[in-house]
Amino acid sequence: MATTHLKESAAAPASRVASAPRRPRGGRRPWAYLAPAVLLLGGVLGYPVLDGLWTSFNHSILTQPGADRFTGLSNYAAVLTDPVLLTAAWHTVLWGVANLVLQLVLGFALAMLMHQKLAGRAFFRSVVIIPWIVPSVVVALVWRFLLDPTSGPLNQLLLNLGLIDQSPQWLADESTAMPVLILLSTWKWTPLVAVILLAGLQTIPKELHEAAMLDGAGAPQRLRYVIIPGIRTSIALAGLLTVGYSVNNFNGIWMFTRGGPAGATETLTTLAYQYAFTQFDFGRAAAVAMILFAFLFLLSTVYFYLVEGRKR
Amino acid sequence: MSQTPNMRMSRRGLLRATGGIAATAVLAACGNGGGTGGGSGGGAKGTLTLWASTAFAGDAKAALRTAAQEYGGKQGLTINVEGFPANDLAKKITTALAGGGGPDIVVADVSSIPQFAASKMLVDVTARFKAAQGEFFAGNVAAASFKDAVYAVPYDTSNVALLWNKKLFQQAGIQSPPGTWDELLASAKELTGGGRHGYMLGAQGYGSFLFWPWLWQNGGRILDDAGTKALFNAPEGLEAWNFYAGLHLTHGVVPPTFLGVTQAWDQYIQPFLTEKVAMLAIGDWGLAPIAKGNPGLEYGVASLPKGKESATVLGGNAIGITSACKNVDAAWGFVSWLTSAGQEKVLRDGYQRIPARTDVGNGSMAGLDEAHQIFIQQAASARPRPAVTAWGDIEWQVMANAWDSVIQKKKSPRQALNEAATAATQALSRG
Repeated sequence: MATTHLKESAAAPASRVASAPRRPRGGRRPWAYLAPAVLLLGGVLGYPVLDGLWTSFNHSILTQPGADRFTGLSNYAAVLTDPVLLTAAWHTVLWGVANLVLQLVLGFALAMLMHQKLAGRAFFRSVVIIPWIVPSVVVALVWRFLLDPTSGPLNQLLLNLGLIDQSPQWLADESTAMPVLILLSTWKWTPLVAVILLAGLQTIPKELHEAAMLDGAGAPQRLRYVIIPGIRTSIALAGLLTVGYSVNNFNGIWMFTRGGPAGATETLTTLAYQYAFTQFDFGRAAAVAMILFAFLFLLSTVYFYLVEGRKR
Repeated sequence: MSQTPNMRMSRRGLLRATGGIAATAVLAACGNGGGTGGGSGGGAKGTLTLWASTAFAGDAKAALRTAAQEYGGKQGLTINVEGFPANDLAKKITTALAGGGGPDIVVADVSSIPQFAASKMLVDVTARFKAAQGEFFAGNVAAASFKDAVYAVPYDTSNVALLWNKKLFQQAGIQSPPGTWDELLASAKELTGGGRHGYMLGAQGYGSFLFWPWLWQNGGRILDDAGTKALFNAPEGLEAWNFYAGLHLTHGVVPPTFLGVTQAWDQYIQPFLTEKVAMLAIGDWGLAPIAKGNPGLEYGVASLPKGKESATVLGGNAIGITSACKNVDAAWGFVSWLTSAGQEKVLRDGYQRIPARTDVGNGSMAGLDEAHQIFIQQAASARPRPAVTAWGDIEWQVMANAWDSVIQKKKSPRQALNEAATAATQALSRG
């Protein structure tokens, strides 16, 4: 996943040149240059999507080999009438929005801090990135230990400080499971947002700050009129990545709660997983995945036009 | 960090990134055709690949590896043994075989055999197995069968018994482990207090798996004989379910932390290990972690308390030959050797497990400690769970969710059980 996006961002400057005012000369030659990339992307991205789409229109249950057949929209009808889908969709929206807001706000604050000329800045920048580079399996093991109701250090600390008198079951309580998972996901992914925003901050010319200060702009005004407009594209990118990563972050839920307790953390990804691997119904799993795909596609298109469109 | 490339993007770049994100969603969620195969597959003559859980193949010196080497050496075969986490094994096997690769031989939990068989992922071994079938417990053979054909040879057998902490019982002035439901409840109440609890339960699938003995003890049944309809919500079933849930909901003899037992048996055993819980029901797979975690723990093993009748649930693993195997004769040779009378030492000495062979009562298991003896005695009478394709769905999804909604107090036990029965019958109708 990460490599795809890194490739995309590396490719970005090239397409910026292409969309510059200078008119392209036309002809077939540009297409020949583009062909390898298009074929590769088509194979790596396009084929799985189309295969998933096709699977979602078929009766495709692993335990019924040879019974695969085209069934039109019946998988969609089945999953859309499954009462769990609505809850899972709601949880997905909640999960995506909460992650987006928390990570952007905290990531921006972190980026601003890392942008200051502080002693030990390089060290600080390396430390901040740690949660992001730790594999999610390790994250799950460590946090499950820390959050353990009886032997976990967190509850011990809270008990000793007298802040609580009964050990909360963070991951096994319906009311806390989702908020805790959102915080853990924020903990893990905010560094990425911070680094993207930091890169944006570094592109704002010093002269702009100086000019604003000469004009008598205070910190709030500079934030509003210099910094935020200056990194708007970075914010858009970070926001998009955050929503995409979060909504697809199956590990961050499954390895803690498996969608429980009592479905309190069931999202569209865990639901698709259950269809695929406990019911072995790949048709319905693909239908859920396509619904998620459509939802993300719509969301990112709208988001992109809102942020990017304002420029014109 | 200051070297970070410019992250600004054009509209086109963003749209493409979007496609990437969304496509990843499909890939991650669907997993269709994701099998990469493992090891040598079944291709080369003279090489076999075996997949098992890490419980059997966790380390380089695992007894199963040694046995495979020993047999391979004699036969001129190379047998590669690969281990996967137990929770992932069935999924790994399924995706690998669906993708056209995968192992030649699998050692899998018996409850997953019907699903493999229905998916035509295992070779029908009925004819080959016929001569030796009588040497194995009927319940284990039934569990490894699907629609009157045998698809795997029973390997080890396990069942559930009651573990009780002798010290805590003595402190509470209770002489012996409970023999009936009423005694269990009375003892559990006595043993609860001062930060300790009398009995342990599990959440999600652990809760549903451990419910079946209660159901049977009360005269209930899981499914009808044809395997088409759920019967567990009949009056006997509901009564058992109410009693089971009542241990937590009404009597509070279970530590509330059981709500978090969703990932591993280790979580379930933990409070018993640390003497926070006086009793728990578990199979012989719980003995090794206890011996490791608290070697000094003084506990006894007894049969589960009786309801209207006594009953326990059968588990264990069976060995199947997969549809990817090109050399079924060689694979069968190894499977029949490994499960033969002379090889019980692999399970006994390597894993402290009990072979699913009827001759385990003849003293061949005397080397195992006293704690294992009850499990050996119960091996012949333990009841298998229904061999239906939808079993994984019914046990780990439908019933697991029902149990969770009861212990999280979202639904009444009656409502949850009735809804689960409807959902289970529906799952069965899908075949």
